Amino acid sequence: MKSRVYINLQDNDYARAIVEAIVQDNPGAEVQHQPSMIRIEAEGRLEIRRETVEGITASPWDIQEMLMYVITLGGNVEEEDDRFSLHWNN
Amino acid sequence: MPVTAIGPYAAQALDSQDRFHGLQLVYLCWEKHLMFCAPFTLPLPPHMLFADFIEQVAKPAIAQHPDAQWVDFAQVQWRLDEQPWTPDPGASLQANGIGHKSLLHMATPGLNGLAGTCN
Amino acid sequence: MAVKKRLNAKEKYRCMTRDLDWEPSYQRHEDIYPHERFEGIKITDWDKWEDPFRLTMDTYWKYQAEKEKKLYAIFDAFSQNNGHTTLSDARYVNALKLFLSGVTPLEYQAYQGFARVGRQFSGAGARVACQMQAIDELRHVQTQIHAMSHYNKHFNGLHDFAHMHDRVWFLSVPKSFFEDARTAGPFEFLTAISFSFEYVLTNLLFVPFMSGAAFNGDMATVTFGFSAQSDEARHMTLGLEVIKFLLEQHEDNVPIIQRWIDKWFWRGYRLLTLVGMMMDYMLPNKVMSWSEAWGVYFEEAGGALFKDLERYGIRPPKYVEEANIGKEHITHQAWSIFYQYSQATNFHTWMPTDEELDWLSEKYPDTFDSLYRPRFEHWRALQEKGERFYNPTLPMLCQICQIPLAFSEPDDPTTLSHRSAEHAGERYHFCSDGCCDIFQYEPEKYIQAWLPVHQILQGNCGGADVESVVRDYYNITPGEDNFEYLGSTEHRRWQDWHPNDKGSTPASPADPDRRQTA
Repeated sequence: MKSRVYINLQDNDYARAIVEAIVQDNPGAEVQHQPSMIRIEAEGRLEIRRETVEGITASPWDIQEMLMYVITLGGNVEEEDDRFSLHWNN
Repeated sequence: MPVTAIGPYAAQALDSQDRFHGLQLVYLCWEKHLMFCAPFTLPLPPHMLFADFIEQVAKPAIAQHPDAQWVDFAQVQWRLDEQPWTPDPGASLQANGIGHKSLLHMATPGLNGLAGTCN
Repeated sequence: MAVKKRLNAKEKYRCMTRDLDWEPSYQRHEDIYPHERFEGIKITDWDKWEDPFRLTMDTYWKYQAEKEKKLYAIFDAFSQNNGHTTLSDARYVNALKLFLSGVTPLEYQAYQGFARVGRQFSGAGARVACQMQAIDELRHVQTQIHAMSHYNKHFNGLHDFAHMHDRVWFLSVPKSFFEDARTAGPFEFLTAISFSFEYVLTNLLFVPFMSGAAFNGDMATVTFGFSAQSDEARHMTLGLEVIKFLLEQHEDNVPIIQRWIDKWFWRGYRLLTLVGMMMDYMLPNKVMSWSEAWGVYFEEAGGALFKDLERYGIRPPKYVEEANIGKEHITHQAWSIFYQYSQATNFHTWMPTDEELDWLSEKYPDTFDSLYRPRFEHWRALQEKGERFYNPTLPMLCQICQIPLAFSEPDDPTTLSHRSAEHAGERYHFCSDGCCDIFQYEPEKYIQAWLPVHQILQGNCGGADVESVVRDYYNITPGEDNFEYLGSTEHRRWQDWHPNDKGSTPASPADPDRRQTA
């Protein structure tokens, strides 16, 4: 079994579109609602795509903005212009 | 390697006996009585008789425990710095081999704390 | 002419960080970066340093400014609405007192540490990352002090946290932890703080505690916590990148890094005992137990991490099994320390209510009822008779973690764990193999430990009796800031604010003897 990556976001209006986009793009992702935060876990890899988020909010989105609402994460981070991903190599 | 340093390094121990104004430190642990969260640190004169240590220091230190009244100090099983050891009540701490920062364990078989729970 | 409108994030990052670096021509490299070699770490190519977040200074300021605006708007709302009166219970504020005097000064030490190591690395990527983190840490200090300043108007014990951090016996635990890291070389500092603490353990400090604050009505703390955590994601990622970079640079680095991981895992684990105690005992509304948090944030998350590092030849930290056993014990042992030495703390302690005892039994089915409940019930019975238990002696401390020797043997919870070593004719004592190993590797460093109990007994902390040390040297007001919570001025004030609320804390006689043992 692959190790699980995770990201916790503040539970606010901003995060909802991101969570929705993650669920669309990562069919295996598991969303947990905890006091004042949302935790998303997935096996091996998790991707957040700019296009998907922009499609949901219908406005331009800068991935680096998301860092204002990240509480914690686990996994190796890759940040590009149009996507943000977490993965383990095992 | 005594320390990882960028150059020559001289350190002084902060707790050597000469810093305690003629006293030495003795630690005392009453086994199976964890209501006292940790061993006690006791500053004592090295020439104090062991019998006086029992009466004037050890007994008051443990007095708040309900088991304390049942302790027969003549029957206590002692360890000094983790070695089985029999004290001479008429001799001083020093003459008994209790050094600076020595740890005394006292075991009281039959007394196992609050309702036998080692507390 | 084709003009590119915008640089993408990667290009912008390269231009605004690494391209600003230069090779020195009239000073020797080792004169400019004198700390880079003595730890034995070999760097062959700093350009291999990967920056996962391609954050440039201009973007950094933009987002940090936005975070601050949001944060201070909430602080204002909290204080304008008297947020302190709608907490779950005033006992909760005691967790904040521990946080402000124990953790906030560590943020300042982190700022100092990152400012220094940022200066000492010759790689531009590492320097920029450390610089941003240094500024982040300074921000955390400031926002925490601002958040707590509101509580300081209404509660005791928050008035002189920086002074207390430098002097109070149990605060030497966090203080010496960070000073140990800051007095090491720059690579050990990063392994200690960025990797072992930030990446492996910091979730255990912030995430459950912030959820706890949310659950107990403390909007100010939740908000500064989450604002700080948004920086933390960057710090954690730096921690992981640092380790991977060092391991990839040279195989000779592997055993050095492994030893640092072993050491700093153990030091961090011991330090977090205080946090675990806060979660299990000081939050009136509980979120999760320490044992559960350890399971999620260390055993699960750490398991994935160390599996990932296996290919570099790194194994999980030494004594990790002892920590996994300890999760069932350490918070109860720690609360016992603070309960019996509450005459010398800047916060109040108390015995759990019936409901809380039952919660602990449920969360710790294998240990609580058999080992810890009898102790607490005995103390509660004494308290009901007006004989609240305080320990009038001073405890024996571990030379490394500086916590009283209150932890039990991993294989026998009814025996206190003790190890000792001799160095240059002097005896030294430890709470565990983990702490003993740290001493044995660098004894010359740790023989200088400023152990509060020994310092009091040497006469270096003012008066000869505990009460005058607490009052004059610690600046804690006996009878106001410390001792039992029930019947304290703070408890009575809370009852005045909530005349109809009888349920939050059990009625109990005030504590007539509470000054007796000081």
